[in-house]
Amino acid sequence: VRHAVLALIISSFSLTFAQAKSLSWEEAVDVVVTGEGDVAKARQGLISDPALDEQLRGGLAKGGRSELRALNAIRLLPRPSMVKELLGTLAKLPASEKQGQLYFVTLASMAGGEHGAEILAGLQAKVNVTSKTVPSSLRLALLSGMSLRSTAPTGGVLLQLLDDTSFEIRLKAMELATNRFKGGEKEQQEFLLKAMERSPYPLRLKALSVIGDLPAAQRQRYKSEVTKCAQSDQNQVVKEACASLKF
Amino acid sequence: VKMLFAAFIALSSSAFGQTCDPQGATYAACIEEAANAGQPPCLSCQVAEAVAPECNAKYDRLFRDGTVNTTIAWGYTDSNGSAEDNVWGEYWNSQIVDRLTGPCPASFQMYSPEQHGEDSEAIAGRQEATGCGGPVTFRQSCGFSRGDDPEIFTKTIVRNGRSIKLNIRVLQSALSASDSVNRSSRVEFIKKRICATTPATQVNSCVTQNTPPQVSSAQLLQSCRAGDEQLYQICRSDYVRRAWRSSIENGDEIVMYNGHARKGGGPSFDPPKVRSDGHVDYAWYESVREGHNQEAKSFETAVARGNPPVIYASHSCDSQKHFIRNGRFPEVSPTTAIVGSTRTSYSDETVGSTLATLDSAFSGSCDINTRIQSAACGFGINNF
Repeated sequence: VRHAVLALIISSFSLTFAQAKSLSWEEAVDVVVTGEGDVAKARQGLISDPALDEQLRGGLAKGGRSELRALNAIRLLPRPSMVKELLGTLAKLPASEKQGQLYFVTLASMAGGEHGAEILAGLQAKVNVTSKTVPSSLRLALLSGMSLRSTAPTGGVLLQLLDDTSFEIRLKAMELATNRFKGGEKEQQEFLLKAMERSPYPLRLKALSVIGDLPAAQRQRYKSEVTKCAQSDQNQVVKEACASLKF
Repeated sequence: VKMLFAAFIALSSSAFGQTCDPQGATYAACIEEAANAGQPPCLSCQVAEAVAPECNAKYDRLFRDGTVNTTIAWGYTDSNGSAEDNVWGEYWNSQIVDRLTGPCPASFQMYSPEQHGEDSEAIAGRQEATGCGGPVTFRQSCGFSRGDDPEIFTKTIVRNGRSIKLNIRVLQSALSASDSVNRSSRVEFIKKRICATTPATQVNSCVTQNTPPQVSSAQLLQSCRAGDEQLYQICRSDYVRRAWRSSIENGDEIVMYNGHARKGGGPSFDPPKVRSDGHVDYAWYESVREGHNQEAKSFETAVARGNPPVIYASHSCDSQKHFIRNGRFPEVSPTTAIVGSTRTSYSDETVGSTLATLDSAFSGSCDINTRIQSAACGFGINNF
């Protein structure tokens, strides 16, 4: 019994000691990523650590999972002080390789925050959003970055993206068009009319929703296309949505 | 019989394009030849893969009616209540879609094979045993076609001389890559679907009166129309949840959840519940376990109907701990094989495991576990 009590006391001391021990930056990032543990405390510990940037640099240099963990920390906290460093590394990496892609997508996800304009400029220097040789996942990440920053490519590029081989890119072009066409009536009309003729069907449904929100006089310009869609669209939901639009 | 089989292969070659045997010495040349002939890549890869006889029984249920239906449901992959607005799954989903719709064979290599604190000897040992972290090639997770519905991917393969139709449905819970945009779409939804006929001066108060907790989410969902899942987050989350449950209950052979574990409260298709300090309310997820209870209930229904999924993948952090050791798998559906993670799983592992699981199953592979571990170190299959 005495031994058991002693073991219990020792184990409760070790537990208390383990709890009191602060997390390493890598352990803290895993807590923030997974939610396993005290997220608020782990986050606060990371933010208040004066040596964090240095540790993150070490993680980036180490490669593999440490690098991925550092990129996650920079993205999730977020850590704008590391943006220049990431952009510098990205400029040297081929976008066709995994490492370059991870830097690219990490930066794209931070485009809505501090240094957003600088980030977008760096990403656009790396990837042409209409290029057929760049994987659509990277081009999608760039377009998402633009969306987070409430900006968009030119009207001409958006029109071109409606013919992209990737459905995800076409749908993202539609999402961005709502940022782009505030006030540009003629460009908007050209874009929406083209979208009404393209697959996949959510593209047509979203175009229709934008048309439905236009002032009555502007909406009138789409009457013949919407009437045609109400009669012959291949998708029943789109067909019904067209039929329900009032002019 | 041999002549009939040869005739069938000849017929399927002309109907689907060139058939290339991946075990054959001329596989690469065959693929190249088909590409040079201007055939769409998906038509040049109707792989007739040799299947070891001892594995046939395991796959009988998967291929029995000549169609394999798969549903991949992405959860709401927010940044766990961090300051970042980005919903992360869009990029990783596109990594899967790029390969499914790209030419065969597809290739993949995860970025982060090692675990925290692991020494190089342990990494090397695991890599030697499973090939974990090395480049992998997929001959079936590729070459799919899409029509007007972006969720649906199809292709036909020949297996043991029989034509098999493969249907994959990919569902994305997040309306866009911005959490704040997704959440704010609820106001627009209430304005358009509930307050549409309200006089302009009273719209704001109408919105307030119809915003939870004034009304329940279930009441709001009654106003979602067909197609609203493309426009409003609240309808999108509900649409994906229903489709995912229906895929379990109504006979899909393979079902996958790719998203947050929410400490055992997942699967989770909605923007997360957050506390007043902005952090995800994990205590709620841990105690209520809404998502896991829903999936268990759907499996009970499927088992009662005699048709549960053959393979279920829970692509989330520590899913073996949350949903097998501390959850209701595999007991709730003893004949279902479960893919789960032994650790914090990063998104590249989810991509690797999704593609490897599909590739192995469609190929009728005997060593599915090794193939999954090879593509995605932290994942493995149980109860297979």
